[in-house]
Amino acid sequence: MDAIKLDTKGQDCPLPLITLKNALADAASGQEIEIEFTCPEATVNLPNYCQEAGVEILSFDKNDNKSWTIRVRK
Amino acid sequence: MAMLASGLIFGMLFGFVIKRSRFCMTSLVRDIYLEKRFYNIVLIVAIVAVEGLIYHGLGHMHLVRIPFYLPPFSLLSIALGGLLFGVGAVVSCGCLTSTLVKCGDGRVAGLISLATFIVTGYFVSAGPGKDLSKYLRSFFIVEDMLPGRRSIVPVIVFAVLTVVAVYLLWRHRKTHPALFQVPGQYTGLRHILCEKIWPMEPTVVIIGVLMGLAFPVSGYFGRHFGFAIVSPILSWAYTAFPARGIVGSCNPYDTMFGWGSMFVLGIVLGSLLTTLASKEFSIVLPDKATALKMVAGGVLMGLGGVWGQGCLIANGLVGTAQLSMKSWYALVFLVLGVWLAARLILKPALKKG
Repeated sequence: MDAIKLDTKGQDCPLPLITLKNALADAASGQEIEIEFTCPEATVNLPNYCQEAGVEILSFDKNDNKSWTIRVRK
Repeated sequence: MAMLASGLIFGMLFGFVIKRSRFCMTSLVRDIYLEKRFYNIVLIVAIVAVEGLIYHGLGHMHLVRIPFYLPPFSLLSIALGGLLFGVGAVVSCGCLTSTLVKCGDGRVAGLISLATFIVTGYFVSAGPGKDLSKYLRSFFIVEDMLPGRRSIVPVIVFAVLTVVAVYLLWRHRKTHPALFQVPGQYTGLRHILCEKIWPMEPTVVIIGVLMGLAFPVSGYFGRHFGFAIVSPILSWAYTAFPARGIVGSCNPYDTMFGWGSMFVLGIVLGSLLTTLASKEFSIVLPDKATALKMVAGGVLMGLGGVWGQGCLIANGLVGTAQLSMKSWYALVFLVLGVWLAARLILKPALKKG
């Protein structure tokens, strides 16, 4: 099962969170989702949502000073 | 010089705190409806309570001037302005304060909404559109008179509210520990100041304290008001392009260049320095759809900020602590505007999970 890769660079909150939620709705159970974002507020919103919704966070990386990438599993 | 420096310092401190914590008033209000986060009400009340306690407490010690008289306001203009501003804040992905933060952290989207806000706000407050603003303000005018506003009662009410709010913040923090921390590379003070994302509980108390202390400090220089955003931003335009008969917005002081002007500049600088310190600064260009939304949001906030005589900060957090009926009335429509936009724009974008 391939990971779903999403690019929300340039978009501000809550759009990265909406994109992640929509991807989770489409994803199969156990499928991984990787989302790259530039919105600093999403560094809080995305992990908080995953934590509350029981979505497993596999990694959270800062890509130099350009963006962040979070990888989760449904 | 000291007046300008103190405005700048308060702005930088506010910019630093909201950048460090990712505080956003629009998202706090929006997520009460969108994410059913009712705890956000406690966060908002905590700011108003702490600030109100400082403001009214210092007022009774004669360190802050609590005005005898608050100007009357138009029920129509404030309602329409509040509604438009609330919608604009969602369309812009953040209100004017977030727009200033974005300008500091390199997001060009912030510059776009700031520019369109200034053009629109100037047009309806000092340009050809000011007659329309005056016309709107001529309907359904009521007095801003709350009995007992200058008595000891507000001190007691805000003291009780502060105790209750701080207890609820403490209890929530204890029962909802953050399970996930954004990975960091520093330790100690450098981690706290340059990297750590501050939790909301101490953040809202710090914001309340800063907002409360702004009254005696700016009052010392003759500006008897707290944090404000709409008029201070527009004061730069009024200075560059002087106009007569300006239709003021959140307070009568900031139509002239001064404390407020430096305060809003300080927010941008505070955001910039915080972003540089955390090595997160980069120029981020919006896509075409985002850019268009920033234009629309800036226009709506320009109309709403002037007609509603304030924004989510000046009306929602500052005027409410002063017990201005105009601000409480405006807050109702600001919240309705945010929720309306969330219902019409954001909710349809969500798929059912």
